[in-house]
Amino acid sequence: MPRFLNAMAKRKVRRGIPVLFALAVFALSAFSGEALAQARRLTVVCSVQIEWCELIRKEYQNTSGVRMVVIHRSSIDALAMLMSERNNPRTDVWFGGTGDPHLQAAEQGLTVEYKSRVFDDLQPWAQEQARRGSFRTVGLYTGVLGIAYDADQVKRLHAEPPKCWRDMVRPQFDRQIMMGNPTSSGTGFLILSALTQLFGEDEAIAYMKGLHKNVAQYTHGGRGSIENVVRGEAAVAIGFLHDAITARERGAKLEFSLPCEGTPAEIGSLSLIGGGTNLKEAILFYEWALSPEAQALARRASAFQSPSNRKVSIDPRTPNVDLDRLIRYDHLRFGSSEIRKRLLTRWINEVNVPDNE
Amino acid sequence: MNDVQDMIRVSPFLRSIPFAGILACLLFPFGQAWAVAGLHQIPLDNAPEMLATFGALRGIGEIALACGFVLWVLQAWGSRDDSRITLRGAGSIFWLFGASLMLFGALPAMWHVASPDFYVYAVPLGLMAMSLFALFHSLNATNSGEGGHRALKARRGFSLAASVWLVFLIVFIAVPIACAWGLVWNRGVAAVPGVLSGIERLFGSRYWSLGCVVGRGACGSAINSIALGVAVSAITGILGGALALYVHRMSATARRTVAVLACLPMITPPFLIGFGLAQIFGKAGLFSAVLESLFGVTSSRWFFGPSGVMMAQVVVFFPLAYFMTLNALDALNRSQIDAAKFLGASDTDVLRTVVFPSLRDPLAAAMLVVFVETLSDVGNPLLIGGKLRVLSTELFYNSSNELAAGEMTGVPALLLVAIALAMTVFKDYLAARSWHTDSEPPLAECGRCALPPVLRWGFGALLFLTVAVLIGVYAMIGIGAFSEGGIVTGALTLDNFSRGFGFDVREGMIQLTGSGWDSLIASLLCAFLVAPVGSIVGMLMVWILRRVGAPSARLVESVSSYLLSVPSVVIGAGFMLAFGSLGLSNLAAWIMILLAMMIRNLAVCMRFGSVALQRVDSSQVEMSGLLGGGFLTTFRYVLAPMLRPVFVICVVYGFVRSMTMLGSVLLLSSAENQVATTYMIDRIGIGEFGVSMAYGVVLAACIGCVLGIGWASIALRKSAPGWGGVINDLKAAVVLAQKRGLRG
Repeated sequence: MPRFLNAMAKRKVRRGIPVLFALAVFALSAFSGEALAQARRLTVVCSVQIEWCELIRKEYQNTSGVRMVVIHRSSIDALAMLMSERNNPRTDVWFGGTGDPHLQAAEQGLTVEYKSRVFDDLQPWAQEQARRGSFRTVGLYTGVLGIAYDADQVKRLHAEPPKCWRDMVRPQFDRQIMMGNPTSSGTGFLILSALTQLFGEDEAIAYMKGLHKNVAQYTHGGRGSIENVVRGEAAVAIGFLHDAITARERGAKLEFSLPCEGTPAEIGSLSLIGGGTNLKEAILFYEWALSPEAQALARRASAFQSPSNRKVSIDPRTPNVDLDRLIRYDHLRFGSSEIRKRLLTRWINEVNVPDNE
Repeated sequence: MNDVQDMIRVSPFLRSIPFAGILACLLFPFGQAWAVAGLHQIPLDNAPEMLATFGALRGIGEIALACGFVLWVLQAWGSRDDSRITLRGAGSIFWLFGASLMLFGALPAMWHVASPDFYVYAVPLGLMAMSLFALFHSLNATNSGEGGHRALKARRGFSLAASVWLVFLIVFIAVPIACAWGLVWNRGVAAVPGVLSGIERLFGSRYWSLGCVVGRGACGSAINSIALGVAVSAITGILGGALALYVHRMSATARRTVAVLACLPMITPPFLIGFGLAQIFGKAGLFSAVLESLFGVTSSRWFFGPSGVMMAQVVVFFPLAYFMTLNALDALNRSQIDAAKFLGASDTDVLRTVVFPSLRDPLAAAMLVVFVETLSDVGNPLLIGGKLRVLSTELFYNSSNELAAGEMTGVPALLLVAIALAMTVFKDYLAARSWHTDSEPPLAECGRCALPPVLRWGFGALLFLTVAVLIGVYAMIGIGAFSEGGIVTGALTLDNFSRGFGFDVREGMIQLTGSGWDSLIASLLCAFLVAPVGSIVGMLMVWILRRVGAPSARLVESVSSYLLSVPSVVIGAGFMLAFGSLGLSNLAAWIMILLAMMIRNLAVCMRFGSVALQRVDSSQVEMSGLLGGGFLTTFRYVLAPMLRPVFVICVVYGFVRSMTMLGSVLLLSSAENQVATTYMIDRIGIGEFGVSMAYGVVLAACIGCVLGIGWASIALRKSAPGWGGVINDLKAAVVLAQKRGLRG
């Protein structure tokens, strides 16, 4: 405190410091809310990679001038959020995330029916997804589930690289496998339901019990499992091929294999939320999201899912989806909330219990 | 005298009104029919989860009303006025609890039925009014007949304020817990609660399995929580005590450096420290890499489990034990040590007979606090727990999916509350038996105890280790913030900061494009709102309770302390269960977050309040009144300067806690309601480690700034001779708080 100030002035300055700081904080918040002055708002819950979500937000805000709030949630968390908001929906669009939760949302009447203008430009699997959900949802992208592993780590474990589902319950992989938690991650639930379709329900639960011993951690979202393998925290992850490719583009040494017994492909979907007051803006965004320009943005965000609009040029790094290991995943069956509740309850009560470790 | 006796005696008529009313509600079929009818009118498929939560509340409410009834009957047999008043107060509190539960139970009817019958909401409201009246009346009665008419009126005001305080606590803490309880018992609309099945659920093997001890499978979550808590509090106590004993003998500058380092874990979110430790000791961490290259030991995931969580929690919570022990050591009476030495005691004897007994109280208090804190720590087990099950993570996982309208959320919540309450009861028991010294803290010389050489080397090594770990953790976080992808060996980049906190200047206005700004600003605003309000409310309530009168004040204080000792995760989960299913607007969701933060801070603010009031010199207040100053003048010139240091400490503490707390907010954050800590956890969960660490750095910087400002505003006091005076004030304040023993 400079000496030339007298006591009165010192007291005034002292009192001013906290006030100034508070003013600064309020000014900052005012600046961040500067776009609130615009009346057009849009709230999107986004269940794909965070970089893709942020790119969408930036691009759409620039092209349309709408103030966008993008909430990032894993697909099942997003469904839970929409269900809890049912009486007072605050979200307008659900962008991305595996198809099963979208179908369940459609079944529960949380989403509205709408047929896009570019519907006929979409791939057949995207159109089928829309029909399954009574047009309350539509296919946005597709991705293949598989096993991603770090070859060096696997060799150090004195194990063969895992090529089949059966390989992963081997004792060499004790606490070396990462997968998404089926109760919170769409990827995790997809694993559970795919195994149910492949082996039958009881066999699948028995397999998951065996796998539980080898699981190092159930990550909250599906992509976290691959990120952990990239960092070297585990040897094997069960996740999507496009996430593995993203990691490889960043320089990670990952191998990917499709399980020999068969594996599903997810259909990431797009839905309009019902009951909100912002349907017009939501529809504008929906149409933009299905357009070739918007779908090509995925590549810029290093997201390598296969897009649903036929007019998008194929990136060579995007995997070819017509592979014979793919099973015809029964989306309708596993999209029903009853089956989902049953499977998840069985998983929680029989697999994820202390006695099983 | 006569006035007061009349107050107790005139009131039989008044007393009997709530009595009769509630009795009527319980007995007459009319009282039962209203509730059942209301609930039956709800179309079931519309809100099945709401029905499951709220349907059971009616049953619990009836039990509470019956308990209150029993207490009011009992009080007629009470021998002393004291016990009668306490029983009456307790009975009214039960009635209040029961009535608010009935009101909550009627909410689904009000929400979902187009035009519910009049008695659906009228009866619970009437019950609430009657119990409030009964509570006010019982708080008002007191056996100390001092003061005339004016004191009587003043007391009425204070009793009313105390009643409102209890209503606030009951509605926002007890009712959410009852919702969790209801989920366990799952009564629905049926008649008899499934008591047996409820008990079966509470003691299921999922929570109480002893597999890890027996060797088969893993242990249940309750066992893990308790074991973790006990281990962490024991280690923390030993570590904090050892460090304090060593640092106590060091020079002032060294003490200040260690103090600054020890403050660091308190100003960063706890899970960040766990994350930093994972960077060092994890499978891909620095330590494991060094071990592998030097000794060829293959790295494993030993850290991700109980060992890692324990390490992280010890680092986060040891400052508590450290500071409390240090203060106790500073307050040691030198004359006692001199006397012991004169009588021929060696250093070890002095330690054993003089120093350790005086450290028993502060260490025990610190260890109990740490135990309850570890119970409600969600971040660390979530991030580095691997497959470790603890009650807090079970609560979090099960409430964030829609299968939550079941006992999966209720049981962990109830178990957490039960364990925390047991600890609070234990703490009160210890406080009643604690060894008090009545001497004031000496301001001159402090007794310096010399340590025997063995201990000196051991504790010195511990200090070195602790400081190394602390510096290592923060270095990893700092480096990770500036590295690509958060991996330490990655390229240096500012990418993480620009993605989280980027901004560009466009058309002369700063536009914030980073994704982290929203949550940071939200956090700052919440903390700025909650900290002062919480401090004021805490101090005010302590003052009000002083004026209410002895037996009622004790009752209200103990009820408040039990209610406020509930772990913060449970408060968050309870809010979500009780208020979340009502379909809230955005503003209401923010208010819930603010309330959760405030409730978490209230317990500590009340303790600070009692410390502050002890330091108030009543003679100065009287003098100011005699000289003609009104209330405002007295407050501005006499009271405020006396209260200001403690008030500022309380505000700063509340601010730091609100910015770094995760447990209560994690379950409440959704949609647009993200605060700093939930954003960081989110990012770590999806693998964005770099952005999260950058956020941690920015958060720490913000908190550091605010701490600096708070420090400056109390340091630059004209009356105190600079820093020395402030530090003395602080020490005296903390020691006084501790001298009141383990209470509060």
